[in-house]
Amino acid sequence: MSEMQEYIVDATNKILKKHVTKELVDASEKGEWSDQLWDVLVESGLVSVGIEEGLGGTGGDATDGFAILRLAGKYAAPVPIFETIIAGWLLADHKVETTYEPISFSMNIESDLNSNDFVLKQVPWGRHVKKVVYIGEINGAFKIAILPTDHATVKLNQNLAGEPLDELHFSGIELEKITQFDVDQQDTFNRVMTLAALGKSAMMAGAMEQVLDMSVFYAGERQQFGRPIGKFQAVQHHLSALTAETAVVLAALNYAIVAFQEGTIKEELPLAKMKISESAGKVAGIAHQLHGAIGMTHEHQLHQLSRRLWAWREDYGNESYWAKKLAKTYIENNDLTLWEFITNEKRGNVNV
Amino acid sequence: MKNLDLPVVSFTAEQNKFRKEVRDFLQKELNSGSFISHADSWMSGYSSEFSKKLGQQGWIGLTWPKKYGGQERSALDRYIVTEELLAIGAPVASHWFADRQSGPLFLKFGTEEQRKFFLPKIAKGECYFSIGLSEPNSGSDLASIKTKAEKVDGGWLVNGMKTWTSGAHHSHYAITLCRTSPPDEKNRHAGMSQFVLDLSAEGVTIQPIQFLTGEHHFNEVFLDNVFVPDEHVVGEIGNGWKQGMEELAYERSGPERILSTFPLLQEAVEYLKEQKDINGLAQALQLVSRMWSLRNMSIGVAQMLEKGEDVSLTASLVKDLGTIFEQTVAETVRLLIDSTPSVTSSKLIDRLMAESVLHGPGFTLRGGTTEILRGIVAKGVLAK
Repeated sequence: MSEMQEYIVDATNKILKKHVTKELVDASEKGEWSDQLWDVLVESGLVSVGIEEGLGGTGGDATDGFAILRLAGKYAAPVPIFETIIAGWLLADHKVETTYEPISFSMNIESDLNSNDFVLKQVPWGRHVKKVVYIGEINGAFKIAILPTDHATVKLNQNLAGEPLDELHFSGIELEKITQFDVDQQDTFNRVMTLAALGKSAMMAGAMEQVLDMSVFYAGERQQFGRPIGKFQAVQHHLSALTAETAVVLAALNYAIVAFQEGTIKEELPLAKMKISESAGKVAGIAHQLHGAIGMTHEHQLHQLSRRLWAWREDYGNESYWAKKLAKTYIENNDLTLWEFITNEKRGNVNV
Repeated sequence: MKNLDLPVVSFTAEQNKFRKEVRDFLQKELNSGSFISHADSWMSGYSSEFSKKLGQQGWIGLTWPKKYGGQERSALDRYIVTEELLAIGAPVASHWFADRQSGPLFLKFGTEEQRKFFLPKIAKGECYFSIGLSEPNSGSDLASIKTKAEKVDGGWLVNGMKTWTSGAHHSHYAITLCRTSPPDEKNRHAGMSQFVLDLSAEGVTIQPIQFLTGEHHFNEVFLDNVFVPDEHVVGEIGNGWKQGMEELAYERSGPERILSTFPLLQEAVEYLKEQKDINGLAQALQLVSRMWSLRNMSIGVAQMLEKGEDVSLTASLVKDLGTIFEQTVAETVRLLIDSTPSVTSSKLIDRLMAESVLHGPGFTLRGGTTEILRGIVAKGVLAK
């Protein structure tokens, strides 16, 4: 970790620890906007990390962003920091200056916007964002475009964790007048999937670290049969399994991030996302078993993480999506044996 | 809670070149019929000829000082050799424990005479070791061992019995853990010592224990007034437990805890690819995603070992996850391909499937059962 990244991690940790309470996450789920938390994150430059200073960003690189997202996942920060950071990077690719507003992004390679009235479904944090970065066709040409949400009405929807996943009904937008860039469809799709799958993977890793911490705490505190339940082997095995899953998830995440940083990421992305999504389900399940009935209540904090794990493992490709995609590539473009494939060090500067 | 991040290791260009050199050599050996691929080859693939060939290449004792016959290369270089050998299913059982554990034990705790005597022979692939730990009534509870060594003039007289001793019928020596003072209820780990036991010495009787397949790699070793000279004490008298536990770190996190069934997985993936079976291949690739992640972990632990960091918890995690993965390979692959598993089949995938299923129960038992490992991990995290 660079010195700058250590500083960023330390600062993010302090901010999230102070501001993100169970009550804040509950309030967000009821529809409130976490304005104080968001303002602190903006003022600290954490939502504009990985964007050069010349564009109004904080500097640093994408790995700093992934380090922030790992902590955002750990604390279940109820703000669109993932969406804003990644949308910011996509816009910075086209030299768009950062505006420090909450923004979301929505990619749909099958859609084509061709009238002034249209609907975007499943827009993360749609109700709270000022803009949506749209990745898809406009009048038949593949674009990255900025859609201001002041022309949109919102039909509320949510994911498994109660995070906003809204339907936005745009009307009266003059498509030819909005900021937009012609982009290559495949390259852009790959770029968005890479950033987003890595970002969500980092968030899941953070959430699993927190679930492990909570479980260790609970096993040490909860008493049954006159002693802490952590004294029972059956419960110890749950703790061990949670530790193992978390450690292997971090090994997958960290290797994928290094490959990304070196510009060589290829199979590492599906391999990591598959593993992390798979472990997310295991970790949530085991932690609930360990916490017993109290963990199923809304009063306990566990669900704020377990529901996020269940939601996020589906985002930007679950195990099945990436496995099939990788299988297709493996059949079509791979002359390596499996062992050569696994030990292949320099995979070339190619995206999946 | 302790940070669970492990180091991320990128192999250097030289290391990749070295990997290619090892791989090409093994492929040539395989093609020339010098060995055939087996699943779990580090436990059951005995070939002293092959071990000697590896010794000639300088690939046994790779990390040891040159003056003892080693090459002074890094732990990661050794990692490369080890995983290449296992991935191709080469017969490495003969020298396995000597290279992995006994050599490093001599380097850490042995006398200069012991190093000079044993290490060059091990590095040549000519001298094999077994590990004498378990006893009939001391399995997971190793501290309860009863085999005794009593001081006599010029050495020690060993009496007792060891069991599950892999390769004792093939090895020249066994590093044997014995009680050298009576058990102390307050300190169960005190009073044990390690000895180099000459397996051809008078009073040593080796009886095969057939594995469930009928194969012979386990043994019972009866020790009846076996004389062990003073110069065959390893390290300090009374320090045997601690010395033995340090060996286990090398034992628990290596590629052999992930790759025992890899030859099957590779063969299955090749078959599914040929069949253009996208759904089947997709399921196999989910196993690959687990394997890739576990390998990252295992390499990270190897790096920590090289730096002398404490890996007792992380090595246990690798072994727990890795050995369950090894079993899962067979359980998943059997549903993806059409196979009639048989150890006598001439069809490679059928034979590898049979070996992987039949050897499976051992993966999660040997070198510390899953249950023992989970206890170590849980106590580690609860203590923090």
